[in-house]
Amino acid sequence: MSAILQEISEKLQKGKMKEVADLTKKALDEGIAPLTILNEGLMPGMDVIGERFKNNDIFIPEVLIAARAMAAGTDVLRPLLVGEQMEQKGTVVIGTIKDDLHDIGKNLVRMMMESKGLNVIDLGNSVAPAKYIEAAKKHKADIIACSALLTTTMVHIKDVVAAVAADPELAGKVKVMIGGAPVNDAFRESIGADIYTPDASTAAEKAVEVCAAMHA
Amino acid sequence: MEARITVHHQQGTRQFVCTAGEPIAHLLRDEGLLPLPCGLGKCGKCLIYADTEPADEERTLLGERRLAAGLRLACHTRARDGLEVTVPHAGTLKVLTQFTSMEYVWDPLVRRVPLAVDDASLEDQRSDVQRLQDAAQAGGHELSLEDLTALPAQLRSGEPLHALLRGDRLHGVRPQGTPHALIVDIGTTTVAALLVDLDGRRIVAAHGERNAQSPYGADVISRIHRAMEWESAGRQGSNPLQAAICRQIDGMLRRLLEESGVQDVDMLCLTGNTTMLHLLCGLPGEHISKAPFIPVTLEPMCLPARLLHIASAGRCFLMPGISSYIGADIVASLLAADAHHPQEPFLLVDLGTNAETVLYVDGKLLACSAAAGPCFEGATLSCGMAGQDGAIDAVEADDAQGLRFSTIGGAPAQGICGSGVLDALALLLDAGCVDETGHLEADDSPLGRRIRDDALLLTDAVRFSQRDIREVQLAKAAVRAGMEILLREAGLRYDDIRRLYLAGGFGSAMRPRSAARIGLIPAELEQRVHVLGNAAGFGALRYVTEKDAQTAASELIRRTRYIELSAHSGFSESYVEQMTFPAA
Repeated sequence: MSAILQEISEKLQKGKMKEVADLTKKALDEGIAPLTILNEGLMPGMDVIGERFKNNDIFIPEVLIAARAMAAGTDVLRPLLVGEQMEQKGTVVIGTIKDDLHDIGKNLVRMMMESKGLNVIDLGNSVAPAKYIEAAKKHKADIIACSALLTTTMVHIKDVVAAVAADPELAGKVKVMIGGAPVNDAFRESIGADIYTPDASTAAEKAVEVCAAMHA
Repeated sequence: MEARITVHHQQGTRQFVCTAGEPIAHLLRDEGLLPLPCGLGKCGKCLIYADTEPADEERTLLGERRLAAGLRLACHTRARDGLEVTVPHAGTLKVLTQFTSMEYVWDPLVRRVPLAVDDASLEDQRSDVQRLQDAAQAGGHELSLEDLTALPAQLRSGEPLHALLRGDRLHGVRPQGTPHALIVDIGTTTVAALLVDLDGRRIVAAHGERNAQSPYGADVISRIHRAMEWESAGRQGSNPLQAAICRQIDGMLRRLLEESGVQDVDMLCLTGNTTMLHLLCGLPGEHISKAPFIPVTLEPMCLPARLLHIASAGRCFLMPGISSYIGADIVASLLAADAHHPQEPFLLVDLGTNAETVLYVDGKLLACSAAAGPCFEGATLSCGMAGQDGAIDAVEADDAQGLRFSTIGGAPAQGICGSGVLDALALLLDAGCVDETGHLEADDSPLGRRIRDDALLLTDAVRFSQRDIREVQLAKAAVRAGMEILLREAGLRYDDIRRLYLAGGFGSAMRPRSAARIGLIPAELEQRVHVLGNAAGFGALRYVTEKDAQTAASELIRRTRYIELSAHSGFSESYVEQMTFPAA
C-alpha cells in the first residue's frame, strides 16, 4: 500500500476530517484510482475503527467522528466513482422499529456496513413492518435489519418476521437481522428472526458473510 | 436452597431469607435500601461492602484499590447463608434556596380571611356550611367529607378561625395563624421541598432527598417500565412507585413542619417532569416512554393532599406541563426567568439527564429536550458522583503540580461531580493533552505526567479517563445539538441571544468559562450566563403566590412550540457535528 493511502487510513482513524479530504484530493492528483483510494485507504481505516469498537478499545464518539472523516473522503470521490465498477456485496434495508426513535446504534450499524461495501437503504426511525417489506422488495434486499432500544418497542420486531414469512416474494430469501440494547439471542430465537449480533462491527461482518453465502 | 443474609443500613440492620446463589441486588432494591442505576451488573454503581471473592466483572469495574477496601457490587454479590453486607451511607443533599431576586405582585392562590361566624339560634337555622360561607363571603365551597365531619366541633369550639379561600370558593377552615405553603420539585434524581411563610414571604426551611424511586432505576424510562411491570402483574397491592414518592413527600412535609413548629400548610404546589407527576398520581406512563410520546394529561390539577396520602388538610396544586419531555418543572423555570413578562431573547437550559432547552423570542417559545444522559450527575463516569461531600467540584491549573482541586465540604476526595468534570476537561484541552476529537495523550508537562493508563489522575483513586471524556462528548453533543436546532428553527444566531439562563444544581455550580471551553455552551454566551439557582422551586412558588400566575403559565404553554429532536431531520447531523471540542 502506498504511503499516502496509509496516511489516509491513519487520519481517518483519528477523525481528522479536513486532513482526510485534503489527502484524498492529493492522492487523486498523484494519479491513484478513486476506487483504490476507497478500498485501500478509507475502508481499511474504518475497519480498524470497527475492530477497536468491537473490542471496547474505543467508544461511540470516536466511531462517529471517524465516520464523519470517512464521509469527507467519500464526498471527494463520489463524483468520480460514478461509472466505475463498484463491487456489490449485498443490500441491506435498515431502520429502527416502530415507535422507537433511538437511532444512534442503527446509524453506527449503517456506517459500519457501508464501510464494508454493502449497499444500505436507511429507512430512518419508527419504521412500520410494511415499510421494511416494501423497501426490501423495491431494492431486492438480502437483509432486513431492525433495531430497538426499548423493551416496549422490541416486541414489534416479530411483526416484521411474520410479514416476511407471509410474503411469498420474500420468504426464505430475505434474512431478518436484529440488534439493540434490550435484544439478545434468546429474544431472536423466541420471535424466529435469523440473525442477532451484539455490536455494530459484528453486525457488519455478519451481514457481509450472509450476503456472500446468499449470492454464492 | 434458602440463605439468611444480614444487611446493615443507615436505617438499621435487617435480616432477609432469600435463594442461595441469586444476586442480592434486586432484593436490596425492592426493600428500598439501594438504588440500582442499571440493574444489569454493567454500570459499577451499586456499591456495597461485603467480604466475598470478587467476580471478574467486579475486578474490572472496581479496580484493586476499591476491592481491597471491601467494596463490591450488589449485582454480582450472590446470596449465601450467613452473608453480611453493608450499604454505604447515601449522604445528605443540599437544596438550593438561592433565587434570582425578582419582585412580583404577591397574591397567593389560597388566602386566609378571619372568620366571625354567627351563632346558630332558633331564629337562624342556617346550616353550618351556609353560616360559614356567609361569614367568609364565599360563593360556594369545596370542602371534603372529612372537612365537613370536623366542621360542627370547629365552629362551636370558640377558637378564633380563618377561612381558606381560593377566589370566592371556600377551601377550608383553620385555627387562626400564619399561612404556610409547601413547594416541592420532584426531580428524577432528587426531591427538593421548601416550606414558605406566606405572610413573611420567606423560606422557613428547606430539605432535599434522593428520590425514593431511585432504587427502581436511574432514569424515567426504567421507572415507567417498573410501574408497567406492576400493572401487568395484576396491580397487586399499591403501585410501588407511587407509594414511594407519596410517602417521601409526606415524610418531608412532616419533617419541615416539625422543624419549624408549624401545624399544617394551607396549600402544596408540586412540580416536576411529566413522568414524575404521572407516577405521583399513579397514571400510566407507558405512552410517554415510546413514540409518539403521549402523556395522559398535561393540565394543571388540584387534588386534596390526603388523596396522595400526604398528611395535610391542604390541597395540592400540580403545575401544568408542555409535553412528555418538557414538564411542569420547566414551566416553573420559565416563570422564575420572568418569561411571562416581555423579555429580550433568551435561552434557558436545565442540565440534567435530559437537557430541556427553551428559546424565547418576542413572546414566542421553542422548546426541545435532548437526551444528555446522567454523565453530569456522575452516573456513567468511572469516578463520577453527585454533588455531595467529598466530590471534586473545581479543578484549576497549577504550574508545579499540573492541577489543584477543591472538594465539596472540604472532605477527602471520593469522586468527581459535574462541575469538576468540566473544569478538568477544560484544563486538559487548554494544555493540549486532549485534542479536538477528544483523544487524551500524556506529555512531559506537570499535567501531562499525571496522565497514566488512559486516565488523568486527580488523586491515586480518583481518575478521569479516556472513556469518561467520550461520555462527556456524547452528553455535550446532545445538549448543543438541541440548542443549534432551536436557533436554526427561529432563524437566529447565538449573538442575538441576550441571556443564557441556567437552571438546576449543576447549572448553578459549573463555571461558564469551562462550559464554554468544552463547547457545552456556545462561546458567544459565556459572558451572558445568568444562574437561576433553584428555578423549579422558585417558579412553583411564583405559580401559587403571584397574581394571575396560573393564567400566565397556561398562556406561556400555549405560546410554546415543542420540537421533537429525534424526529428532526437536522438533529443527527448536528449531533455528530457537536461531538468534537472547540479549537483552542
